[in-house]
Amino acid sequence: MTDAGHLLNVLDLDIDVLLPGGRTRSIVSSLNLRVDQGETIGIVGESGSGKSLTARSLLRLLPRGVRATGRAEFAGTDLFRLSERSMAPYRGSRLSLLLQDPFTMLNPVLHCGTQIEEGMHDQVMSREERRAEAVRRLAEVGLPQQVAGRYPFQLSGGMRQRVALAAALAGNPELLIADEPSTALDVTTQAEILALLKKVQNDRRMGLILITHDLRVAFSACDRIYVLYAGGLMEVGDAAELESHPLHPYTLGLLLSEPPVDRRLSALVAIPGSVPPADEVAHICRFAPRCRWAREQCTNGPPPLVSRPDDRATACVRIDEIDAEMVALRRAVVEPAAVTALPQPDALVQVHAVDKVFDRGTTRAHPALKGVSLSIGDGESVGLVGESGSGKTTLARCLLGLEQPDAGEIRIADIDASRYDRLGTRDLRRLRRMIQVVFQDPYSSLNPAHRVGFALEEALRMAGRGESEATVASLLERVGLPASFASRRPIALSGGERQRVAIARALAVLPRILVCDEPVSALDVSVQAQVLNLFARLRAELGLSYLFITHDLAVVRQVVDRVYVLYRGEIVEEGPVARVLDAPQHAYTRRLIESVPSGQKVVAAASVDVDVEAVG
Amino acid sequence: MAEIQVATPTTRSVPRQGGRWINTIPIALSLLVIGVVVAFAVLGELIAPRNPNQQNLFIGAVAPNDEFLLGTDQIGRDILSRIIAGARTALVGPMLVAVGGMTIGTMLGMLGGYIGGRLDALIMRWVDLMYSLPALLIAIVVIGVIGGGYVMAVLVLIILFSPADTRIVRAEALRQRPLPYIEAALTLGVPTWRIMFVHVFPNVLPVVVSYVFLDFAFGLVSLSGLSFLGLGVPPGTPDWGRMLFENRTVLFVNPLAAIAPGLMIVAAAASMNILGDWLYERFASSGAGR
Repeated sequence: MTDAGHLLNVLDLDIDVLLPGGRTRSIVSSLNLRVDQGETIGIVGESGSGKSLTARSLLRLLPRGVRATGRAEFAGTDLFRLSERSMAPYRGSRLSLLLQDPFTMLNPVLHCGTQIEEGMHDQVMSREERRAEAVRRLAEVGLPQQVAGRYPFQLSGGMRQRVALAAALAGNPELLIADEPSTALDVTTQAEILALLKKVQNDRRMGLILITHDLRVAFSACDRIYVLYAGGLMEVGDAAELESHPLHPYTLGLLLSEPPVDRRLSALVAIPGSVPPADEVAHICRFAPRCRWAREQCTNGPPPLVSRPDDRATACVRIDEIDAEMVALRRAVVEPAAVTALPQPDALVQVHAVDKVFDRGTTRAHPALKGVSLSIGDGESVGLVGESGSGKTTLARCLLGLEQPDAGEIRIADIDASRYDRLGTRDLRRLRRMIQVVFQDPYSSLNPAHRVGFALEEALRMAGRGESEATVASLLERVGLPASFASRRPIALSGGERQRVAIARALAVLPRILVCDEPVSALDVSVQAQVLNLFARLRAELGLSYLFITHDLAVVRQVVDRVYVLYRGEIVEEGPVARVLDAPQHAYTRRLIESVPSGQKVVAAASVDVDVEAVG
Repeated sequence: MAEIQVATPTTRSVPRQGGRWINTIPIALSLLVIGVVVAFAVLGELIAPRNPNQQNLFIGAVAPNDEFLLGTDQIGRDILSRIIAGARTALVGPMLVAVGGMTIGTMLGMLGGYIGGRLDALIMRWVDLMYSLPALLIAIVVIGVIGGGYVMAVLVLIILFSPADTRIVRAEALRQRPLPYIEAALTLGVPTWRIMFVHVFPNVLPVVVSYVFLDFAFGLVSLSGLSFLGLGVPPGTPDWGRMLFENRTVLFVNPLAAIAPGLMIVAAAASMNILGDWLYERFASSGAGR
């Protein structure tokens, strides 16, 4: 049933991995989606949902050994039936792909102008015309013409993403597939790129498939949303309706896991567990193992996507029975928690006028921290907010003794921690047990060569505590993991589980302060909520102080009492979290808050301001 | 609220495709070759058909026949028995070279890569110096001038092999240095030596092991070369490199007298290479390593 009305119509898309011996493993199954001209659809899913492979399958750019079957009708032609040779003219000129990472998407040895010209290969024009066209294309994405003669490494991440967008648009595609186009960027840049994407799409009446893990991004930019989970569609519907009234427990779970930026909740409603591999749940309702409403009927085979009024569809077989309950749950959770105004406790950590310059004395010298002062009270949770390059990680590393500040003073309890290398053994040992760290990347924060139990035992030994099995088990239990995890290797754990182990390791020395450097930003939304809840619980149980470093204002709102805003190495604003986020004083803080994608649609003609200084 | 599901771990989504047999056959063959060489070296006299040093000047060099499966050399010694006996020098020397070179390389590389600073600069300048010298030529000159034969050849090769190993290990240690798990250990107060041996070393081990095998292969070829030039084992010792030299004169009477030891050198070296690569991949995919 060819529907000529649609720009792209995907029917029964299956993506499988071919295994040796002719067996296959399912990644995505029976996916249907359509895009009309000038329409934006969102494919939303956590890691392992198959959303990126779905995007690639449409351009037939799947990795070796992965096969897509079904139909993908693009303007009446089934892309999957074309020969490789006749597929080539479609790529770039009719369908185009914009990828997540602006750091690897552009070829580092080619000028940006050349990379844009690459995409015009099928249009006959002279070299000069091409040059002029490339400059015009740069202007379209809001970049000055000098950028054409620059190499990617000379540009900031946001500018690179703009160049990549210009390159993706060079062949005037009718459909652009953007795979997490803003994820690797800072919040303010993220908003700019999204606004730009929408503006370009609007101007060109282009179809746009936006693939993202971030519901807020999807709601702000998309007309229709496809919710993908473990390789299957859970729900399809208009963005606004999906947000106000989800028709699938998974969508509801995602909405509830997403911390709100405008208020603090007493606890987030996390989805238990983590995303299973697609083939393990392909024979049942994929979400059933994690669903609070799952009944026997949910595991009696994969439920079909059933159409609902208003052009919506859901794969939940029990939706009519549980709809009222879901609505009630949503309403119950929306009640904000009363933020207890803490009296300013005694300062446990005091940072005074700390400077740090990298590559000091060379031509590349650049200050990372300029006169930063900050304090963390005993039992207080303090946030440090800023974009990449603002120096927030440098400050954390100074506190931990992984960097030495060039000037200023750091006091932790009664110990002068400005120079770790000058401390006596006793003070150093006390300090190490006082302050601990949880890093961002759960995949490299555990040594792959050692079992979980080994890592925890070592930490216990460092603290002079008994390294018995029981202590290890109680540590694991404290972070919500079963004792059996002690014998596992990090490679066998999911991201959220690894982060829990990293937290347990930090807790082993009974610290009073935990420095958390973006501890949830690498995790899926549903897992992020679990870990945020864990942080809240640990603080309540152990009376820990936190220095919580993040770029995510919604996370800050949930976990900290007081927040510092760091901008280019300087603290520009400080205060109770509610005050700073609700009534920001500094222009930069205001910009940060405005950049958070909200339910409102991105304004198509959003201003595009470029850091001309960086262009030079 | 924060339950966690104890599920089977999520594995990598896209496995490497096909070619199982193409991968396993060379490995099986390599294991077989190394197994045979080891059996020769261990059992030696027990399986050799005759005394490898027993001369028979009456028959001199003869082509392979029922009595001498691989024929004899100029002075009537049985080639097969000499090849079996030669497995000892072919195994022990290169093993000492590989393990010795890698031990020095690991120590220097770990120190340079993990501790860094002036110590690293010092070590690397030494490595640069060694790199700028033509290795085998140095070996020939040193052994030629000082003498000392096989033992000296092994010692010189250990020194000559260590710079390359140092670089490899240093590069790996450098890669580990900034990783969060090392920094987490630092903030726990784990002592430096313990971080080096317990945290960095296991992650460097895959490279170390595979390079020990590569060094073995190259050491075998080098030692055989030195023996060929008369700088290794003393004359008369059953050694594959030496046999290659001694038997080149009977090439037309009994070609196998020279070809067989040559083939043994190539087969043993190639097998060690393949096994090294294979072990590296095994290590890497089991979680230690990347």
